[in-house]
Amino acid sequence: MPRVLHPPQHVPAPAITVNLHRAAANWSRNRARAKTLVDWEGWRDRAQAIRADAVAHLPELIEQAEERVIAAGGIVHHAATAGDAARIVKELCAARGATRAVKAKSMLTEEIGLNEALAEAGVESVETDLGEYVVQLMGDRPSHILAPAVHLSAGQVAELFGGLAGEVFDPDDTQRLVAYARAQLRDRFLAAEVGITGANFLVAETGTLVLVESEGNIRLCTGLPRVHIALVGIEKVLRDWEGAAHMVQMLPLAAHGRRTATYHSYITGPARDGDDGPEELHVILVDDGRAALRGTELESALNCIRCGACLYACPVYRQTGGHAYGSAYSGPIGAVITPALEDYENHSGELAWMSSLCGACAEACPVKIPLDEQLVIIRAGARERDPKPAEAAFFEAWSRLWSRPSAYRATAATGGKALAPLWAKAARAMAGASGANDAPADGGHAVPGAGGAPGGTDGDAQWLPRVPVPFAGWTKARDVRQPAAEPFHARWRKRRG
Amino acid sequence: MADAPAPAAADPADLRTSFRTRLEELDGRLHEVESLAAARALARELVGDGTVARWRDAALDEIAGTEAPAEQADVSLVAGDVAVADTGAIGFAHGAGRDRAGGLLPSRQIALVPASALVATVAEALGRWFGTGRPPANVVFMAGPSRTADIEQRIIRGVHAPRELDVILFDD
Repeated sequence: MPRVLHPPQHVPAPAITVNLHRAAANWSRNRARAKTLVDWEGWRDRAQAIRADAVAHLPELIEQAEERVIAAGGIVHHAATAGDAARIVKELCAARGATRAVKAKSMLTEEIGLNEALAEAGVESVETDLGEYVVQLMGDRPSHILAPAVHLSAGQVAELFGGLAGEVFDPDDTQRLVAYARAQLRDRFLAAEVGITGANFLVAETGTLVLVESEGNIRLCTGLPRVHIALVGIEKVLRDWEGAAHMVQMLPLAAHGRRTATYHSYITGPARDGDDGPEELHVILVDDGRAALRGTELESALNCIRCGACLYACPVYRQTGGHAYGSAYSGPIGAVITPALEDYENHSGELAWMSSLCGACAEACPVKIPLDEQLVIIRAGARERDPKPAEAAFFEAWSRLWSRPSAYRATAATGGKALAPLWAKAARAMAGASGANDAPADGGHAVPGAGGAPGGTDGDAQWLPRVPVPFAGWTKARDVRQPAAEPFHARWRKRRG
Repeated sequence: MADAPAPAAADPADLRTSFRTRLEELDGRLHEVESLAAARALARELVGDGTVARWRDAALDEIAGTEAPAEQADVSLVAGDVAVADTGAIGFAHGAGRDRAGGLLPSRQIALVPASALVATVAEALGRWFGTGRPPANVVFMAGPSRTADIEQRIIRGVHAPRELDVILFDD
């Protein structure tokens, strides 16, 4: 795999913000269109019922799906953990002497760290979704369930491809950038021994994998290599094809505001009857914490169809992007299922605080997962196990103080001035360390420059990369913006004269 | 499980209008002609001097001038088994004489679909293969050319599969 030798270039705060806001605004327009195309609430009700039925009957539906996949000539594997799933894929490749795999985008494979596991085993696994390909070449991570490179600009892609091709690409000539990727990946598709995909749904009644896409890379991954390996979270099962007919429209409606994506594939077993498709189909059913969620207050999180709507709807995600969550799944659904899948009884639940609890996520969800309520449940569970009395007392006192307008005005004005030297010191340190902007952000920071570089500008605001103990934890994954020189209340009074 | 809503008693003209609108939204082109012969003539014109990878389907006879393997052909020539008014997609099953590579690798694609194959809903279309017995190994629905919006949300066609799609709907 040709990899660029330098880490992702520093992205100033405005670039990532512009990219994310553009994507979120597009999503909002698309959602408005979806509501004109179908009886939206009626469709949500039906989608929710279809998913809830599947999750409620998961064990028997999985058993039926397995039986039907086998009857169609496929081979079924069960993976209890992420490690098991990665090991099964490695063993399948090793047993066939396969060293070249093409891979379609799959959040489950991110969850189980498949590419890293395959690389260790000497299997070159090339991401073929364009955004995911870019992210892989950069040594970066996807930042959105459906749009892995949404945090990157065309300029960054042009720089990346230009470096690899040894020529200069114009960032505005997107067609040329895409043509370069097409040519590179075409050779990979033709040479690969194994195609690896996820699945959007698994229809129990017929043992059919359903895959939805726009690029055609999934059809190539499932059509050209001799072996197709599909990794499927056990919750992806649907009872019957009539339910699938609804869900294959609900997914693109929720994600893009259209009733279909460009391509839908329905795969039932390996090739037969003179078809030129794969000779072997392996379906790996992955649990990795899912079954344990059944019967809990978070069960409905298993209804998720990974449409990405709650991410774009979330005011926190829109500002931070997906990397800030530090987990495979980001946004509201990521904040719920990451701790829940890790360890339902003992999770720290830290991500659940990355929410204003405004409920936009639950409203956007096509299968009506009450994400905001679930975030509260996770917070409560985490605090019950680890009450953090000092922190609680601090916030309690702060909240009491700022509940009184006079106390708020007095402390906001003086506090900002009192803390100003901290930012001034950081700016001096930055000025002393020339070239520091080209280095990746300080190790702990998940998003390079998401909060702006120390000494970088967002208007005239300064950003502080580190604060002293006892607040040091706050800056482990974020920078702190300097308070305005003059608080809003003071400016407002002046403005009114 | 919740039943699929009963398909509306759709007027064929409405079905055609909806099919065209949805297909064009995803950058596919629709041509409506009165006969298979006219469809073949139009396809010949669209193919021009290009080399063709074609499926072994009787409807696709008498079109290709020069045939080529899928990796080298300019044009992919395929046949649709069903067309869906609600989504603008055409559906087909792969199998003997209907290879996957031939439907994916060339940069242009032409699909012939009989007008009698036009149905209103996705459920009706899927029912053709899933309603009885075991479905084929690979059924695909396709609503336009390959596309991506992964770079700054700009829509670009032809990222992996055909960059252009012409659907010819012929009366039969």
